[in-house]
Amino acid sequence: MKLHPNIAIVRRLYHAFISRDTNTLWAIAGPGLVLHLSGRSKWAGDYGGREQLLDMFYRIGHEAEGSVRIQLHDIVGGDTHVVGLHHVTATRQGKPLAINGTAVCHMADGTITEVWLYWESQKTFDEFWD
Amino acid sequence: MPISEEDVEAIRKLYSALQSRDAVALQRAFANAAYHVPGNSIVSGTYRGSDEILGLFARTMELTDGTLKFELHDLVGGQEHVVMLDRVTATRAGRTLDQSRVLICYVENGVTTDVWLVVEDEYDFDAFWS
Repeated sequence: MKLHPNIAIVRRLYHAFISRDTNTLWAIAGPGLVLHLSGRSKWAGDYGGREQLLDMFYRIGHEAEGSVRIQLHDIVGGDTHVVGLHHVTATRQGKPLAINGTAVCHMADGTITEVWLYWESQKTFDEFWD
Repeated sequence: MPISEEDVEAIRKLYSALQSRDAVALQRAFANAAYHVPGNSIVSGTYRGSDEILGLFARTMELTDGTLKFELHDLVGGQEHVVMLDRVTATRAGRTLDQSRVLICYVENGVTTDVWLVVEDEYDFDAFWS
């Protein structure tokens, strides 16, 4: 099957995120990007714009003592939605986290306007951050 | 083998079969599949093969007095997965379920081997199916 060009855009975003290449990250993410984090953890909520997003990423990285690793499984997508499937591992206060995640991205004109992050077990994710 | 246009079409038909409760089509499609339902509820867990999976669908239909409805939002493919984005609504014992879902299908040689259901709000989902 011919992969939709939007898939390559989100793939570049993942690689930029994983390698902490913020210049590429912001070049791909639309300026008004809103990220929705599901669940009831301290991170649950909506994050809009670069400052809020960077601040949240920084705080998560800090709390997990720099242990957060993201492994990309597959990316599927079409004209309006691209869905990234990934695996996340992290350690916090000696507690390990190993969980599959889903990033549903809403696309418009080759940029990402909105991302919804979900987990295979929301409870496991939330309890990790308790 | 990467998924083909035919695989994506097969999943689209599977979704239609789900909506129209076409037992014959569902039995064929789920013969060698595992269906994973998240959370900690009476419907959570892994269902294997068409008997168990169709049994789950029948049970959820019964528990909601036939009010369970699905509306497909988008369906997209990639290298190894096909993902459906939909909305589910139902009522049960005075409670209402209205959620966005992600259905991640793993397709191998044209056969769907696994379907992972991801829900927008796992706590709300658990409460509905408690």
